[in-house]
Amino acid sequence: MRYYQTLVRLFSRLNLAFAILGAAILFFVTAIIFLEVVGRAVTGSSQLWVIEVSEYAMLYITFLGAPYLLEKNRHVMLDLLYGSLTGTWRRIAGVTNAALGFFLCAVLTYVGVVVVLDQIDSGAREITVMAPPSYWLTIAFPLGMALMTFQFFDQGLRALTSRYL
Amino acid sequence: MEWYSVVATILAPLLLLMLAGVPVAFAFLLVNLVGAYILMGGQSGVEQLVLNTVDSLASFTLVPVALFMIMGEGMFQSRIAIDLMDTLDKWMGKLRGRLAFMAVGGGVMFSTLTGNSMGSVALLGSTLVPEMEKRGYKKAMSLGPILGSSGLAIMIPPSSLAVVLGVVSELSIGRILIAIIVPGLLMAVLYALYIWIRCTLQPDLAPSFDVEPVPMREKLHATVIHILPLSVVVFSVVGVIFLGIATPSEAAATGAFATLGLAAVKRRLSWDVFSKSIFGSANISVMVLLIVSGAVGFTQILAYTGATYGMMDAIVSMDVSPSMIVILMIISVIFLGMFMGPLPIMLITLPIYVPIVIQFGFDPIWFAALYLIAIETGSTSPPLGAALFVMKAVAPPGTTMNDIYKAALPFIVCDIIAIALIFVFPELVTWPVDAMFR
Repeated sequence: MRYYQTLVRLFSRLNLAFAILGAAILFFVTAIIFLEVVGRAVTGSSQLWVIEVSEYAMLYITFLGAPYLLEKNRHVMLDLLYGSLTGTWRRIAGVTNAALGFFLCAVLTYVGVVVVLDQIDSGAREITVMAPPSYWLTIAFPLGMALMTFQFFDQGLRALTSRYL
Repeated sequence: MEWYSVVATILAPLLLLMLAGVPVAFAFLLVNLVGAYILMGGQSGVEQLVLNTVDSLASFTLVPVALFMIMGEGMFQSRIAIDLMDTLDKWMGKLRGRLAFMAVGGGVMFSTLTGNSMGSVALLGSTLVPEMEKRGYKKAMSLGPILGSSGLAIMIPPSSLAVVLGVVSELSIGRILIAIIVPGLLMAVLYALYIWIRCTLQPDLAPSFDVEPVPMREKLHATVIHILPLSVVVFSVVGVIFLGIATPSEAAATGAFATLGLAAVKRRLSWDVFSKSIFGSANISVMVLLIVSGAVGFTQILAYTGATYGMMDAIVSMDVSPSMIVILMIISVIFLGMFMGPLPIMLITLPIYVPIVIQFGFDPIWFAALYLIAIETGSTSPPLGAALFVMKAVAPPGTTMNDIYKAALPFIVCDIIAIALIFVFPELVTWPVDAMFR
């Protein structure tokens, strides 16, 4: 159990670090778009990479930040029914939801890794001005999903043992 | 399989998962996963789902969702929003229903600076309600105006939900942002009118009280220091779009920078304020973006099964006038808002409604404006409108949900009047858009 607690702490720090990285990327995007607008107004010319980098950033911000929010239970949810549950029913719902989430994220991690490996093998590139290798983008998906797989596992365990309910 | 069986097979588990407490984004992803596996050819279908999800997020049109959040967070964290209320307070003078009018004025001003109504409810609620209680305001005149006017954040640019609407419906975000300005102001006027009439008929709802007279010099000073600089922020969003200097997505960045710049000029941009603003906006953006990605996949699966087309076909061939169908759509959005948050409603209904509206030959931008008012109305509607619970959290102890429901009701009626006016006079929406994009 002590090793598991260490693992939980490790994941927690990882989640926070990625969330901070996501926030830093968000500010970076804000800055480059702002500079693009000012630069275009002054010089009349555009930097084509700004839009593309901003698009990729949205993807990274989402998958870097999602595990942290899941850990903190801050994803949007409807508590219409769940909120009214108590005792055993709440525990059952908690375990079931965590199991579903675990299954979802585990499958998507696996398929995400398959897609990334395919893209590396085939040397696929984005059909854009910068034409980066496609896996540079796709890799954000299994990364976020893998971290969330652990979070759902932990949620399920906590719901089962009821220590935090 | 008939379209309605497909819709029921896909929608029922989605709603069940959401009701059971699975976070909305993951409920969408779960249904997408099963749908892609069954309908799109096993693992290759799921691989396609992964690629579609990645593609749906790597989109420049989603940028303002995140960047508008920075504006709101920056305003609240740097306390610029509080300064705004203080200045408004100085100008109001002795007036019956003064604090209720302040709520409307504050709501309009905040809505030009933030795109998120929940922040407005929290701030207006926590600053104004204690003072209203102290002055003997009845709940109807304290909680109601705050609930109503906070929702204006959805209606006046920058509005994150308007951007989401544009993304999901594939409509011009610039046009939607311009289209919602008049409806937003119309709603504010209706709220103010209601407050005036009610306070005149029932003066005890909002007792008049003496206010320390504020010298004109001080009023002007506060305006120049606290309100005038905000015009730079407003211009940096709406102005740059109007002048063609920036696209709506880019305008979100100029707005965010103007907000942070203003906080810096006011010497409020400490590292703490800056980091909290950016980290907070990133977190809210992640919530929204993940749901959007799930919903885009859901829309694709609906379309792939032919359910969207079947549903459209069935509705278009119904023996009911197209206008009546639009009215029913708007009513359904308000109804759903009584139980669900704005985002899930938008992401479930828009992919179905907007193609039908276009098929009928209505202006989709006009429909978008009606739709957003309906979303705002729903979020303040009992029993479970999202804003009602934020109000409960910031209302003084002893405030019951029943108090909040009663207070919200007249403002819901105002919203419905606004919907009716815009329905009957579409020019209120289409004229500014045509004038700008001519």
